[in-house]
Amino acid sequence: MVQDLLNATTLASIYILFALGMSLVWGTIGILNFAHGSIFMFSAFVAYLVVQQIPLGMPAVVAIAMVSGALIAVAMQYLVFQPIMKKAKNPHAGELQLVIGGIGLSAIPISFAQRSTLSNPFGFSGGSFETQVYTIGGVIITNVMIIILIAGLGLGVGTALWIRNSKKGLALRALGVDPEVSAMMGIDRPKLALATMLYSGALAGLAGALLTYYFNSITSESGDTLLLKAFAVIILGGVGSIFGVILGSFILAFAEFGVLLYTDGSWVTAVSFGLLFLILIIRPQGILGKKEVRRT
Amino acid sequence: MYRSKKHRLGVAAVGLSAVLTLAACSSGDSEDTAATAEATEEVVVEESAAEEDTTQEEAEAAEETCVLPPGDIKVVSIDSMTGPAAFAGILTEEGADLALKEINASGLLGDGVTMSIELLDDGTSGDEAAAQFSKAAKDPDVPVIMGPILSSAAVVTSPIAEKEQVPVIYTQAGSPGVVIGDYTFRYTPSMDTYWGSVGSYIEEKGIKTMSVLYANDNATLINTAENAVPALAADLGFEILSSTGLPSSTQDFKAPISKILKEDPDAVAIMMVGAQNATVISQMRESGWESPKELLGFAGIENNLADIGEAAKGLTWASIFHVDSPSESTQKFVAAVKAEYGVDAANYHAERYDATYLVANSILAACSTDRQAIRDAMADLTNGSISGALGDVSFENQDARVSGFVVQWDGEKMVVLK
Repeated sequence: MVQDLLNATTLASIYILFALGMSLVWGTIGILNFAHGSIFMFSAFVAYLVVQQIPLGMPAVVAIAMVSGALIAVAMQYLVFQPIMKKAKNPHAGELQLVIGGIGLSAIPISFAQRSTLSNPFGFSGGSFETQVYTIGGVIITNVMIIILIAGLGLGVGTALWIRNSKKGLALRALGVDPEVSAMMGIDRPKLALATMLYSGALAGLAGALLTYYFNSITSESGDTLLLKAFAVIILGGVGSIFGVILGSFILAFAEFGVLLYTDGSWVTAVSFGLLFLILIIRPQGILGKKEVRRT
Repeated sequence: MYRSKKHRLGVAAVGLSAVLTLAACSSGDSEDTAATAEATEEVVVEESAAEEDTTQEEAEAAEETCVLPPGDIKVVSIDSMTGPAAFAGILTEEGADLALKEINASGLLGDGVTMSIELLDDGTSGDEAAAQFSKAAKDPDVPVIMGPILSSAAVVTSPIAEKEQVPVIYTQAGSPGVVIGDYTFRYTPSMDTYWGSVGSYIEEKGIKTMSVLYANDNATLINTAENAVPALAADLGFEILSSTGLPSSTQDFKAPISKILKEDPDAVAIMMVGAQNATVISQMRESGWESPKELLGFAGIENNLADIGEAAKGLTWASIFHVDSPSESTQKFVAAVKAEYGVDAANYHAERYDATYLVANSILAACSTDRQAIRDAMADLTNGSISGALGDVSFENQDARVSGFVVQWDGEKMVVLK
C-alpha cells in the first residue's frame, strides 16, 4: 500500500513537472503552447546527443536540457508567437493562430529527432549516472524517484507561492486577467512574456531530462503523449492556477494508478478522461480555477 | 501473352534459383552474378521438372526464355519513411533497394528490362497509406504494390486490392484481416504463428504461471497476447494469472508492475510498443524482478533494449530472423547487407528483400506485367517453400510461416538459444 502511494505520488510529480510550465504560459500570457511537448522532447534529445559524445553525470545533463529548453522556448516566443500576436486582428483570433502556430512548430523538432534516431527510443545510457535502488522498510525507491519527487513537488509549490506572493507574480496574474489594463498599469507584456517562456522552456527541459532518466528512454513522440495528460491536469485543476496543476496532477495520477491496479488496464484512458468531462460539466473553470468575468 | 501453368512454374523455378544465386553473389560483381544465375538455372529447372513430374516436353517448354519488352517495370511501395514507424520503414526500403540492385545488375528480368520502385511515404499514418494505396491501385500502369507496413493501414488497403484486383505483397502488417483473398500476400509471418516457438524455453525453465502485459491498441500485439499466449498455455499447461492491456501512450508502469508482483508469477510476457518496453523492463528490475523469475518478449523488442542493456539481460523471445542463423541463404544475405550498408541485417531488411525478389520472380514467371498474370504467378510461387534471406519460408494461404528461433538478450545483443 505504501509502495503504491509512493509510486502514484511519483507519477503525480511527473505530471506536475511537465504541466507546470505549460499552465504558467497558458494562464498568464495566454499562450496555449502546443509545442511544449516538443520542447520537452527536444531538450532531452540535445542532452542525449551531448551524452553520446561525453559521458556526463546527471547535473550536467539536466543543465544542458534546461538551457536547451529555455533557448528553444525563447526563440519560439520571439520568432513566432510574438509576431503572431502583433499581427492578429484581435486577441481571440491571435489565440487561435497561436494554437495553430504551436502545432506547426512542434512538428519541426519531432521530425528532426525522428530522422536522427530513425524513430528509435533514446536515453542517457552513454552518461555516467547510474540508478540506485533503495529498500526502506520494504518500500522500494530509486534515486531518480527521489529527485523527481523533490523537483516536482518543490517546483510546483515554489512556483505557486511565487506567483501568489511576489510582485512579478502579481504582474503575471494581472496579465492573465486583463492584458490591456495591465499594460496601462505599466506592465511590460513582451518582456514578461519572454521571461515566462524562458522559465517554461527550462521547466520543459528539466522534465525532459528527469523523465528520460526515469523511463530510461523516450521517443520523439513522448512529448505529445504527455501533452494530452497535461491538458487534463490543467483543466482539472483550473487554468491559471498553479496549485490547480498540483491538485490536477494528483487526481489524474491517483485515478490512473487505481484503475491500473484494479482493472485490466483497458479502462485507464476512459476513467481518466471521464474525470475531465465530469469537471468540465460540473465546474468548467476547474477545481481551483476562478470563473471568468467578461465585460461587454 | 498466355502461358501454361506448367510453363510458369518452370520459369518460377528459374527465378527462385536466381534468388539463391543472386544472394550468394550480392557483394560480387554483376557479371559473376549473371553467370552463376545462368548456371544454376539449368540445374534447378531440371530438378523442378522432376519434382513437378512434368513431361520432357513440358520441361523443354519451361526452359523457353521469357522475353519481356525492354524498359523499366515500376512497382509502387507504400512505406513509413517518417513518423514513429520510420525505424522499420527505412530498413525495409534498404532491403528492397539491395534486392533491386541485384535484380537489375544480374539482368534477371531480361536484357534491357529493369525493375524500380516508386516509394510513397505514408508518414506512419494509416489514412495517408490508404489514400496512396487507393490511388496506386486505380492506376492501370502499376502492376503490383508493396503494401504499407502498418497493420492499421493494411486492413484498409487489402479490401481495395481485392476490389481493384491488384496483387499486393506486405511485410510486417502482422494483424488478422490483412491476407484476405486472392490478391493479398504477406512475407512476414504473423507473430501469433511463431511466438509459441518460445514454448521449449518455457518448458525447460519449468514456468507454471505467467502474467502478460501488452499494448491494447496494437493489432499484432493484441492478437499475440490474446490468442497465441493462451494457446501455448493450453498446450503446455501453464496458467495465465493476468493479461493486462495498456494503451501505447502509457509511460509509467509502476501500477501494473505492482499488480503483477502481488500475483507472483514465474514469468512475465512483455509486449509493449517502442520505448515502453525499455521502461517496463527497467521498472521490473528496479522492483526486484530477478532470476529465476523470467521475462519474455517478442520479435522486434531488441530495437528497444540498447538503452537499458544489462537490465534486459535474460529477456527471451521467439524471432523469425537472426544474423547468426545457420541458413546458408541467410548468411549470404547478411554479408550482402554488411557490404552495402555496413550494418548488421535486421528482420525488416530480410523480409522486404525476399518480398522484392518474389515480385521480380512473379513478373518473370508471368512473363508479363499484367496484374492477373502476376497474381497467378505469385500464388504459384508461394504454393511451396522459398529459401531466401529469412531462411526457409513456407506459405499458408499466401501468408508466410517460419518455425522461429528462440533468442535471448545477453546484456548487449540478442543471441540464438535454439
